[in-house]
Amino acid sequence: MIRLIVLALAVLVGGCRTTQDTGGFELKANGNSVGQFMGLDAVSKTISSRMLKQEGFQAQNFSLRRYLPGNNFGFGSGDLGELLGQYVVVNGNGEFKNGTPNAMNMSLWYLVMNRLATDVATVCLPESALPVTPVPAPVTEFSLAGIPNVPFTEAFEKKVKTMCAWPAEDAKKEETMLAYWTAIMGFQAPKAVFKAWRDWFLAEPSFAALPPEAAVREMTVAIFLQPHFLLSK
Amino acid sequence: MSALNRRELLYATGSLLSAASMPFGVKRAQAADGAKPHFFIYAHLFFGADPSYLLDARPLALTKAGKMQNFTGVEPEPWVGANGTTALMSSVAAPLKEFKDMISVVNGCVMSAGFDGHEQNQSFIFTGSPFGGTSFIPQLNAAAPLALDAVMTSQLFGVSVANDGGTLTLDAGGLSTLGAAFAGASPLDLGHPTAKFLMAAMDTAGAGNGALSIGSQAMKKSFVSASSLSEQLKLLKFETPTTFDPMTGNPIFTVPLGFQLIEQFFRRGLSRSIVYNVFGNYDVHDNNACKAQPATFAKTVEEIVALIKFLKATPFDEATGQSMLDVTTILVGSEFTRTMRQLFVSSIEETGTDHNPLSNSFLLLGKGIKGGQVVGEGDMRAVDAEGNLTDVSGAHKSHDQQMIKIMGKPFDYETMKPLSVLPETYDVAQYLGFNAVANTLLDVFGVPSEAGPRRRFTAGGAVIPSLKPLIA
Repeated sequence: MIRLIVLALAVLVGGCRTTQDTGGFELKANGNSVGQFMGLDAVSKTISSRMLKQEGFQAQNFSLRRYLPGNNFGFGSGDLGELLGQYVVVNGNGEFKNGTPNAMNMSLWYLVMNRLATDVATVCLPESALPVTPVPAPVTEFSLAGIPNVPFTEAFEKKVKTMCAWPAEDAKKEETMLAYWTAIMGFQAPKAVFKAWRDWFLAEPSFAALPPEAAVREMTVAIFLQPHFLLSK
Repeated sequence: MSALNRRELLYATGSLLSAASMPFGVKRAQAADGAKPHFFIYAHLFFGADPSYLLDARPLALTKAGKMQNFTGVEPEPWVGANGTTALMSSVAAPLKEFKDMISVVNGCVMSAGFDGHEQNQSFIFTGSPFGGTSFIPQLNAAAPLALDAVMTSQLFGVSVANDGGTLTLDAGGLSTLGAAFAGASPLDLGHPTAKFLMAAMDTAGAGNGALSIGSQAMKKSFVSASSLSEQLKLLKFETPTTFDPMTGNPIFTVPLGFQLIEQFFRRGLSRSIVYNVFGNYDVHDNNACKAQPATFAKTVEEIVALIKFLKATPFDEATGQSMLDVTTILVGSEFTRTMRQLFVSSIEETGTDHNPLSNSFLLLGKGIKGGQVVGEGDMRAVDAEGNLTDVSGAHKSHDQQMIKIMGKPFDYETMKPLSVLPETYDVAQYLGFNAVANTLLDVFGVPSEAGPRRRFTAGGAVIPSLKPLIA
């Protein structure tokens, strides 16, 4: 029921508006600029400053590039991170490229944010609970082996662990969920956006049955991929 | 035996998103598997190539009269269009004769007449304005949009395009890693509760008129498209090179990586267009580089021929027997041509050449193009017994007092023929301009006017007509 109300609200607020369909997104629509993705470097910095330890080379140089493969062939820039929105220098002129949302950069944002959310969710898995099994062969051409764990701050890990109580009632308290939301989103979004997020996860039946690490992963992805988190205003 | 760390366990056990998702069925040319698969390649000769070494040459008499450099030393031969207009083919371009029936030539094409710069004229090709604006290339994707409007494998110097949101700009080395990036990743299942929540959130944020709202609308549209695109990207597969250039360390492919990109992106219907630079030492202000043009353009012609042969030999759809060439329209050109010579050099043998936006030459071929045509013509085609150029108008002199720039002849859009009149004043509407080529391509791709506004002669002027003889 709550889910239906949330959906209805979403439709009331935004559903009546038709999206721009120009066969290519114009930089301006209705006379206003299109909010572009803030880009790989800006989002990496935001994540680093809110969630990661600042000591050590790895933490200070955190980049979402870690979730993308390197250049196979060793020529050209080979930097897929450019597709997430990045300043590039073209003959001395700095230009922000690939920032306007399109199917390609959206695919890559979905990819890297899912991988980061998976890393966040590992906090829910106690070392003692890990089974002793052979390491499986990499399932992808992009092997994750050798990438060190993301160095989350103790404060952030504590908030994640509180959420790891899911589906216990402690994890569903407004103050608990708001603390987790704010740890990631900061104050980039109106309170109503948090409320819609919380209501959704409380109301959606399939989430109630999830193990904690999977629930945390889904809730985290649902913050990372918010327009308020990724788009410039 | 070793323990999985926490990350590996979660990756190995998978997430709700992957567990609840159905594998996405993959079809060839997903978005283009309707009746009319159609793609576009623009091969841009980067920076300001001289078409007198291709299909807009001049008689050696001009060289002997000291008017125009020609370092081939060979008399050009006629390239007669099926529509009766004739161009002159440089000896360097002879390998193109094999494809004469399929190639159409646009000569005498005026660019941004008031600007000599690379960036202004590159902007003019893409946007119709020397200062940038809306590019016609994304508009080619307007009729039945594929996931990406265009892929550009290199940046274009100084070109400012307003509608490049659906254009992916990355070098070939980067593009070749896309398959690896998405391999093994969970599918983006739009039916999954988290995906549904995110789409609702994007709709909510997209309710206003501000930048964030309009960005959210684009994000929602992109999120929906990303679902199928990311599955298609997983299938990208590029040759793994085994040999490398000993000098540069660059890999050597049996099929050039650029061609592999064209095949992979078009066959899977990922992008409507691919724009790539053909690199050569074209900007020959220097005499030594100018002298090297026969070799430079021999390599260019070799690349053009290789592209045509590759597209012809590569199946697009084995069921219908269509080749890649059957479904692809190709434009080859540069931002402007070059002056015939420089002044203040002791002889024509000592010259380099500078920029000339008053004339240009383009090759068109492939799907939707009627081959074998020659449309338009530049002036300065002959000299009299005293070695003076015989066909230069007052309009020409007003733009080129030094008389070193070939200029397009006035053009009759009714008969689609160049005119031999010599007007005293320049009126853009009386000349063949690149905007006519852009409008022709929009028509070839069946783009309705409201989706891809046609270019005009000038701001507020009439729409410049398409080049009907070129449309199959």
